[in-house]
Amino acid sequence: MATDHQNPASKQQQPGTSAFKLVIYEQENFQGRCHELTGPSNNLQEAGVEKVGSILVLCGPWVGYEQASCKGEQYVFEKGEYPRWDSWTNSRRSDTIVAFRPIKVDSQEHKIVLYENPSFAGKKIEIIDDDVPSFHAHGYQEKVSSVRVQSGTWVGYQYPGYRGYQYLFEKGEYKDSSEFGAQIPQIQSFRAGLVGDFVNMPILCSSCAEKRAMLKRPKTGHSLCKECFFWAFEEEVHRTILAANLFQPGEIVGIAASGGKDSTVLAHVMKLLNDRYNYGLELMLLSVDEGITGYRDDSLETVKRNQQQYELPLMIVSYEELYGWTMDAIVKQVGLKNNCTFCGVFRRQALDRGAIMLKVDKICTGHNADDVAETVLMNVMRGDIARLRRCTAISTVSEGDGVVPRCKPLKYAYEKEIVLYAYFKKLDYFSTECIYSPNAYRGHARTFLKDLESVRPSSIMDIIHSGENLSVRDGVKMPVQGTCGRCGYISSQALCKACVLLEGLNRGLPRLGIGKHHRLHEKLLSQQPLTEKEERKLKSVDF
Amino acid sequence: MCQVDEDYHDGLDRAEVPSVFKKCVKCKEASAAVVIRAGDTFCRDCFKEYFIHKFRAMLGKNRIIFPGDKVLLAVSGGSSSCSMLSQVQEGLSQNAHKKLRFLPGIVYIDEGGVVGQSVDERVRTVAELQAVFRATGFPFYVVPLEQVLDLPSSVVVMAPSSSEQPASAYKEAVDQFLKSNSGSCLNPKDQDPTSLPVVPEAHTQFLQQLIVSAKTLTARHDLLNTLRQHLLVHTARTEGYRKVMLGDNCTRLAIKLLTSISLGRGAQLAQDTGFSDSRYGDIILVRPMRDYSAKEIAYYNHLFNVVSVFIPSLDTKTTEKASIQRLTESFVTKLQVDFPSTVSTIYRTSEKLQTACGSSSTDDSSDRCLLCVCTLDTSGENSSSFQATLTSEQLSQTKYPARTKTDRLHPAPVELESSVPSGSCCSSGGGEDCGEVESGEGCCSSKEPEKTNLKTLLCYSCHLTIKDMSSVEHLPQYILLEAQRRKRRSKMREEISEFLLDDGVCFRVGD
Ligand SMILES: [Zn+2]
Ligand SMILES: [Zn+2]
Ligand SMILES: [Zn+2]
Ligand SMILES: [Zn+2]
Repeated sequence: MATDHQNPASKQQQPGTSAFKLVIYEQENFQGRCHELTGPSNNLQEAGVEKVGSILVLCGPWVGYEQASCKGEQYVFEKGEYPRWDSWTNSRRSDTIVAFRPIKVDSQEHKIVLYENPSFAGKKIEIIDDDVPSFHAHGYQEKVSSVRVQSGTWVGYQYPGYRGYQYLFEKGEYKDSSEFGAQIPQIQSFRAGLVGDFVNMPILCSSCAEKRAMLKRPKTGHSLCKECFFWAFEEEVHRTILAANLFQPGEIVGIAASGGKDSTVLAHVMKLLNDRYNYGLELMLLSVDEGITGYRDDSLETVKRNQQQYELPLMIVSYEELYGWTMDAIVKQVGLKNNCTFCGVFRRQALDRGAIMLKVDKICTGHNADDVAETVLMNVMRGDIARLRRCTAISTVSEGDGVVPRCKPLKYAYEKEIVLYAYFKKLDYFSTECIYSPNAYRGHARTFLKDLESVRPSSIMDIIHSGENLSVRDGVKMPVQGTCGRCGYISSQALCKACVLLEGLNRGLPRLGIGKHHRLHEKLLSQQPLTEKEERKLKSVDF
Repeated sequence: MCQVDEDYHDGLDRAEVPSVFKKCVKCKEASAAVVIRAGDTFCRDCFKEYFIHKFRAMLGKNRIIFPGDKVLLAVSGGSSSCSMLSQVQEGLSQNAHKKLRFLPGIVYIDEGGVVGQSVDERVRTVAELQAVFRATGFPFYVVPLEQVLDLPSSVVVMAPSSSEQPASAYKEAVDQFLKSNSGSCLNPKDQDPTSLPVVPEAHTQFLQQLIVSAKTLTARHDLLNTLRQHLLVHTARTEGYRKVMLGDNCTRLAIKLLTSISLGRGAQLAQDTGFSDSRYGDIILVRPMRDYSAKEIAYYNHLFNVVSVFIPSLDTKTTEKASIQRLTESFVTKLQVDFPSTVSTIYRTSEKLQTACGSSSTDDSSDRCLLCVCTLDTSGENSSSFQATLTSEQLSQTKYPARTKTDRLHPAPVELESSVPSGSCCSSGGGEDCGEVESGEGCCSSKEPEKTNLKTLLCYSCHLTIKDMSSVEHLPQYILLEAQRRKRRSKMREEISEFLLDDGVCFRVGD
């Protein structure tokens, strides 16, 4: 029997075709070029998609295929975010997807019969309206070789607990396992009833109650239309700015622009709010060129496009002109393991120096709620009470010369909402993932935060609330902020971090800035030579 | 861009492979029986001495337990609290100057009713523990969690601490005690083990309904913790104990700290995880096991035959992402494997936090959370995560205001609270979880306002828990009655506000 599922591309007559929507990003974490699908695609490569790195399903469900023309391993997608290939497969056999099609969902009832042998013979088990995490629990130990779907859309899994290969079943008959795309007739758990997002029941925007909702806010769970989401997002940033009294009329404000999603959205929203509410600010973009081949070149292009789009002046400062070293050269000397330390420290100062050159009064950065929550977790995990206390502050005030006050207008904006905002506003941004690998320990904190968010979406805000309300015991020593003996930048030690790192690079002793070597600072300041033992210790770098 | 804008050094120390054939680091003679951390290897005897010393040192350092104090040991049957019990026994049997000098009692809260144990299973568990308790010779109390339903409202009101005991009083008390007492200080009330309270089935059902009315496992956990603590404090009060010892070990506390952070309990962190917790005023909770890691305890219990009993918990059978508590536990446990200093580092954070919970001068409980009895943390300034969340909820469910250009950068400060919308039916909850409307519950449900009403009486985190409940009508009476009382009082205060001179002035009305 020829069923719908066998000829997907030709015979899709969904009730409300336009509702299906899926966005493919060529890189992980919703980065890189993106492509939108509203209907089936038999071969993504032909459609110009180089690679499927992450997927945002705005309206589904969809099924993806490992091979062209809807063949090979299947992956079922429901509405939601899929940041990496391992979020859509747990057979982990392949990370490629070459074809996609939306899944027609038209029934509220679900009934399916599974048979031990091909052609509907042998022992059988009937399932109605219910998920089955394990057939064994139901006393069915046999293989599944043929299937009759009487109603509903189902997903079968190779192993108990919805693991392993996935097989999509739509209304119709599957005479043997090859018809549902399986190599071996093994199915051990079943999920009933994929639900269409808007096909059967359009949800109205919970704000205007007029338009159809286009998205579910990750932050509050409300369903909103596009316009109401824009308004809410922008208004929240506006209220954050007002409540924290971040700016004064007439100030020159530098927006730290990396070309990534956070800073692109920040630049867009700052420009928009400045016009909408007459902040009276003079805005400009401030960019740092770290000198990373292939990474900065592209992202600086993005920043330059932003500059034209928003008609904001742009200033680029490079590591090379500030420090005499590009990141590429640094990595050559220190290896991949510690380069993020260098990059982070140097960037902080680079922004400041750029800002001073431009006579900027304040810098605003794209740090979002996820970043802040993640930093709170990091500092707890590291027992860093001083940073724990500081890290939730929305702005830092200037202490003395040489430091430009900073603030984070997106402090309460969820990363996912920033992606949604950028997507729907069609903002142009570049991958923010630094090509040099990120800090491993921070990676743990990030993964933990994402997991927390999936259990309770408000977790991000809850953690920030925790951070804002911590009180530190009186007796606990806090580092005293002084200034660097060499460059005058704020520092709790005799030499600031950047100067120590530079000294290490210039002397060929890269470990100098990585470990704790405070007692050497005086020596370095007074240009005394190091002992042989000290030199030996500082030279070794594990790559 | 790399998100690292502050530098961090190499992460924590990586796991080292412990060397097996080592001598004891203490006596340098006997061969090691226990490896606690890389480097710390002990023989059996030295380990025991180290373990016992640590307990006494913890109590000695903090000077909260006074000689002659009646101290209630909260024993759950788990390895940590059973180990605590054996430490107290050890301490009481030591010779003169090492001897512990307080009067212990034991309390066991039987939670079998909410973790799915049958009546038979509960009887069996209790019998097992009773045997352990009886062997100690201490008075003990087996309290079924169902009794939480009969608590008085005073449990959730902070009681004034009976007398402040300054640090100098400690030495005095020790001397006094040594003079007046020669040793046999215990005369256990002989409890008739057969006269255990019978739990009516209806009570168990009511309790189960209460727990199930929390829709998430995270909220269930939190609720259960709160109820258990109320019952512990109440038992201590009625039996005349002034201190309650909890068995939380270092590993547990590290998990608890990270959990508390994730649940928005930052303000209460010091009380939740510190050595002592005086939020209840007259009853002080202490955590003498906080310096021991779970591993040390397991070794000790194994080497010295300390019996513990397996007690199922709410999530014994669930996956790791079922609740925030469970997720955090598996996160810390896994990280500890790769970075063995994880637990101790997180734990040290707890020592640097403010412990004094600002024992407020007024005896008014209106600034305390109705559930966890901590100081409310929701009065924050305009710019806070709390206000930002209110803004988000408000902006997502009302018709947005006409786009005016009036609020510029300066003039009016934002008034978020006052502009809570009215109008469309699902917003009548005033910022409450609108998601429920979709889930099919009548959106004008009469329960909604009640839930919102509790909101002002709860701390940030307890409010999250209540928000996860389908209704508050299953909450025990003592909580609901106290809520009503506080409501009445705050209304009264509003009415007379113009005559009140200052918050500090005690203007007693009503009670
Ligand atoms: Zn709308
Ligand atoms: Zn410097
Ligand atoms: Zn020894
Ligand atoms: Zn509370």
